[in-house]
Amino acid sequence: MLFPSDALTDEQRQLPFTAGVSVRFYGPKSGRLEVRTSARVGPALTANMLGADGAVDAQLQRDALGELGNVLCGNVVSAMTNGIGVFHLHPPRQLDPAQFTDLVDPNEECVDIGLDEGRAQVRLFLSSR
Amino acid sequence: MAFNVLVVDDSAVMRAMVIKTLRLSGVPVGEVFQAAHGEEGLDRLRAHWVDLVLLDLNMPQMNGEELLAEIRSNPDTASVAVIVVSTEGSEARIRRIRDLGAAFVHKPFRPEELRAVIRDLTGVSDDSFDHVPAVSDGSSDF
Repeated sequence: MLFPSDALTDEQRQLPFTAGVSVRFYGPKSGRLEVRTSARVGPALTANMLGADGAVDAQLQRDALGELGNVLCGNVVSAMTNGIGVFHLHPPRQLDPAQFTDLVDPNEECVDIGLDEGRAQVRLFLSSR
Repeated sequence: MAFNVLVVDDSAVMRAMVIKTLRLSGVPVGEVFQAAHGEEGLDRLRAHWVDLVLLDLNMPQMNGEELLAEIRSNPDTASVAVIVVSTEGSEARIRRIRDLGAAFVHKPFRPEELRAVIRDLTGVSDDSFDHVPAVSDGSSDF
C-alpha cells in the first residue's frame, strides 16, 4: 500500500522526479494533468496495482503510471463540472524527466504528496481559451 | 457455468487488475481474452465465444463507447453482457452507456463492487459463488 503523509519532509523534498506522465483533456474545460514521481514510487505503485511481490519491469511501471494519470484526470475533470458535460481524454503520454522544472505556470495548480517510498507531484493545467 | 471473458483496456496493468479481481471474486471464469483497443476487441469477439465483456472507454483507435455500439448492432453479440469500467464522470455519457444495456463501474473500484455488478448483470445466483475467497487481502482499490 502507498500511504501519503500530511506534508513533505526535507528528505522527500530533495528527491528528484524520475518519471512522469501527462494526460490531455478537452471538453467543457481543456488542459492537461501531469503526474511526476521519484524513483521508488513507480515500482511500489505498480506492485500495489498488480498485487505483485517481486520486481516489476519498466514497461509495466510506465503503464501503471499512465493509468494512474488517466484515473486522476478522469476524476478531476468530472469533479470540476459536477458530472455535467462530456470530457475527452487523450491516452497518457510519458514525459522526459530531464525536461522537468520547478516552475509553476500561472494557469497551473500543483500538489506535492509525500509517500513512504518518496514523493509524487500532480499538476493541473487549464488552458485559457 | 463458466464465463468466457473479454477485457478491453489500453492499459496492460489495468487488464491484469480486472482479471485478477475477476478470479478472486469467485465468479466462474472460463477463457479470458484481452484486447488493447476497440478494434482488437471486435477481432476477439469475431474469433471467440464471449459471455462477458469488460471494457474501458478512453482508448485509441476505437473507444469503448464505439465498441459497445458495435457489439449491440451485431445480432451475434447483441445480448452479450457488458460492463464498462472507466473514470467517466459525465452523467450524459454514463446514461448513454446504460441505455445500450451495459453496466458501469467507476474507476477506482473495489473488487467487491466489480463482483456485485457481475452478479447483477449475469444473474448468477449466490449458490454459484460457493467457496468464494476473500478479495480484500492484498488486493488494491482501483
